[in-house]
Amino acid sequence: MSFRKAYSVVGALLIFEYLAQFYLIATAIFTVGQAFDGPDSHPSSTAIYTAFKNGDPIASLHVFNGYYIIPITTLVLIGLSFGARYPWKTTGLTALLAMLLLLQMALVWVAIPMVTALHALNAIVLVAFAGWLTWTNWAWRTPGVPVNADQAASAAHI
Amino acid sequence: MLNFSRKAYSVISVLLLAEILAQFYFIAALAFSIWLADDNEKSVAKAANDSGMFAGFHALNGSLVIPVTILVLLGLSFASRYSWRTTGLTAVLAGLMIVQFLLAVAGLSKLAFVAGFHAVNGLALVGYAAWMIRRNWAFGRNALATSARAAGRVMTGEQPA
Repeated sequence: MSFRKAYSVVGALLIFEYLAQFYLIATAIFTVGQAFDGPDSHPSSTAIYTAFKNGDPIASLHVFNGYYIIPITTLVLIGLSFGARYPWKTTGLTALLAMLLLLQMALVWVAIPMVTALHALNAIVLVAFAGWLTWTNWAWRTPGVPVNADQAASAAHI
Repeated sequence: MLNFSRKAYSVISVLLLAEILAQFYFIAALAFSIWLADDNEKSVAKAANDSGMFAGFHALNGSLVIPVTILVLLGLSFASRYSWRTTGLTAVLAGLMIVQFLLAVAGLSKLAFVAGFHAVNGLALVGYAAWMIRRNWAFGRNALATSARAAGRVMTGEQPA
């Protein structure tokens, strides 16, 4: 498999990992929310804490994916961008994913809920940006139809 | 008049996207209030109760504001005499919203592992709403493309703006 095809595959994998993040945290929130379901809309502290503890392992998967799997995948993607000899612009834009990921972590470290909530909006930017990068550099696209000028220039060098 | 309703369609589309993004913000504010609290019964329970307003905003926005905005958008699509395809594509937003409701109901029915797709479908809504904005943008140079697309379907009863 060429580096370009590997870049596309890993790009798709990264998007899948981002989507898993959304799924995991939503599942954790719904698990905590179960304390407030049913006839008792004012549950006891114990019920809330129990629901929180039930959701915590799922939230931990979100943290593990976010702190280890996604950063590693992003670094692999940057490496593949070099390996594929993509233009500097493409490699720079791939590196921007790592910057957005750092911002994502920094937002959590701020630990002020109203500010930290921007974590979700930055995540949407990450998904959109990774999706766009993967799409514009998709290695199985029909030759002769470059998506952008960079690709055209890159193809001319091959 | 047609031109006005097409511009209104674009403006309301942007408003809808902002409302959907606000949903992500509200629920993240709620989640972080709870997960940033000290890990003890009293702190977590207090954080969960204190952040109830974010849950309220999320519920109100999701069950009332966004559905009404989608209905307004559908009305504007008819008023703009957009093609049936465009109106149908606008109606897909309502379809995604119904799926979103059903997934939330699954969450309230203690099916958290199904309800987790509520966030993934929310992302689909964001992407789709953004694509619809771009596709039907009625301002600037894009307005010509939108109008031309409609003009190309005059045979099917559409009128260019």
